[in-house]
Amino acid sequence: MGCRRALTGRAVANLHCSFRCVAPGRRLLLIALLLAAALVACGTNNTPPEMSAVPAPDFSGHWEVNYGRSDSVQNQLNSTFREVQREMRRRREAAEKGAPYHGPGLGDVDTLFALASMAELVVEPALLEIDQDTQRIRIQRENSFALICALDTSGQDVNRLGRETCWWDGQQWHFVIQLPDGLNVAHRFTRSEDGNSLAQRTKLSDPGTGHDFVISQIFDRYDPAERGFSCIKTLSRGRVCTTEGVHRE
Amino acid sequence: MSLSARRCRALVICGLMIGLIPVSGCTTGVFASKGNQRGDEVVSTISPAPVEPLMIGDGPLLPLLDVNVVIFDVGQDAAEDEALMAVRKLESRLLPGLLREALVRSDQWGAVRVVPNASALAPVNIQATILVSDGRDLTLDVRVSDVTGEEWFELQLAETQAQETEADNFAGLSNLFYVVSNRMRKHWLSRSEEQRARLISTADILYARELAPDVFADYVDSTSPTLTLKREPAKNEPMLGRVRRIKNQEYLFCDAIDEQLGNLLELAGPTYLLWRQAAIEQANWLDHYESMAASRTAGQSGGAFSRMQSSYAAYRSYRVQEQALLELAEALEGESEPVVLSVEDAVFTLEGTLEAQYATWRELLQEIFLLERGGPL
Repeated sequence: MGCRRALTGRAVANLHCSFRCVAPGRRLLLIALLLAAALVACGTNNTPPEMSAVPAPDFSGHWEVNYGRSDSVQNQLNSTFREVQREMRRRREAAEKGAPYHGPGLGDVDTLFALASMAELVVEPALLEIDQDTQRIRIQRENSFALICALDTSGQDVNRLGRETCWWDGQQWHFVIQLPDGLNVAHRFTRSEDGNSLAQRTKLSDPGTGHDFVISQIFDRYDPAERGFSCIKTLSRGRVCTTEGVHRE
Repeated sequence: MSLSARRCRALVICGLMIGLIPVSGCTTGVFASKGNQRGDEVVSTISPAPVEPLMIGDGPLLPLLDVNVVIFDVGQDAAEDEALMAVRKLESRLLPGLLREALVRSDQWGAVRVVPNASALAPVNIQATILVSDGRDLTLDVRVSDVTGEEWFELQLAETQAQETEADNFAGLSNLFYVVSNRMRKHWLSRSEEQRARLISTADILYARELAPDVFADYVDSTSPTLTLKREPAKNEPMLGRVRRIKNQEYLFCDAIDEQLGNLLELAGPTYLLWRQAAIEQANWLDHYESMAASRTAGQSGGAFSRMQSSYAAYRSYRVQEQALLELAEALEGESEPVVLSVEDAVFTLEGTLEAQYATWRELLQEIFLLERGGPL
């Protein structure tokens, strides 16, 4: 997808212009070089970026979503559709004037709806429990699977159901899940300076639409002992919560 | 080896099985077997068989044959995959318990013990390697041999669960091991009573030779490919009495391990079954997805949301189950409970992995034996 986007819009027009100025004998060589460069660029998409040597701050603890400071899926969807409408209007106006238009592709609007619905599912976990040490981070999400990244591995986990890639870039933890049908879910986690807030930015993309769906959530620290109940994982009954033995102010 | 390669291999195996035997959901069978050194049971071609009923005897075959079931080998292909290795380690301890149960149920053998290593503690050792295990397909390579070095037989056992509902208990896995007991019975009965008694005596002498090589080395002829008994010690040989006492102490250790493995089945069994069910569900979903993908390219397409949702749900479900099992397996790995045993008025606590505990215990018994006979430590 990155490759496709890189070769759309104005960049393509400029490239086309420059290409016409090159002597015909060298065009073949140029084409070969461009193809090779494109292949290299696409090939490297599967390799996660290197882990930064900058030590990650401590993300450990319990976090709960702060709905007041987080995006709502509906608002994001409205905003995306306003953008789509603007884009359509620009295209129509350009067509009426007979001028070429090189804006981003619109893609399938149904797929965009589907991405928004998926976003609701993906960002559903309202509670996070993060364990972190010098070797790895584990982000356990309520009612979902944990995002785990170990510093001493390739950062890739591949199976028939999908590919998971992770890395620390010096400021943020990245987790990218690529599913076999093309759906791509990318999470980025950042911690505030004071360590009391955590931002999760989730981007969903699909080959069926040119628009990504991005949603940001802010999480605040909380102390599970002050919630009035506590939960433990058991082998026989799964997650068991109790109000007994919880410290109350 | 990547998961897809393993899956591919499993599918090839299943393909062979499906092509050769009638399949109805769960498939269990023996699909390859190799002969022994005596050449009296040589089957080298793939020969699938339906589930065999367990042959239950009227009583144990005489003379009583004790059997060691060695904790299974996790296989080579799991080494590079942390999650797979954790599951394999768990299976390597759960499955021998089921094999032991099948042998005990057959009511044809003496004491059947699960042990960390093959040894002369019993005349016969059953060793197995997990070749394929991905939740849906399980393939084991099982070798049965006796202490003289004779290979009784080697089998590849395979089980495929097509529906997750069939993987909610251990019945399918237990049935897999019936054939091992049946083949052992056939082999054991093919020997004369004298040959059977001789094997049991050889095992006793070999055990004694491990403790006191200087005393018992001459009793066994080691020049031929299989060990043979040259002569038997006198019944009233005092050293044999000491060996027997030490052997009984080793049985104590095995009993303690047996108890631990029983607890493991109770503790980890339900999670292991859940993992199997999830793996089957995902594998079936993926097959369905691949056929859907093929039809999409032919022009038929489903809704975008249902496509994305089913793809994400399958991935999420698989990860959740995998992580639950990994967590459990990590917690259990190498954390066998300390074994507390009392011997000669002293109490010993053995800690560490099962293998380490067993090695320590054997060293301890050897020291006691040497002390008793008055030799140098």
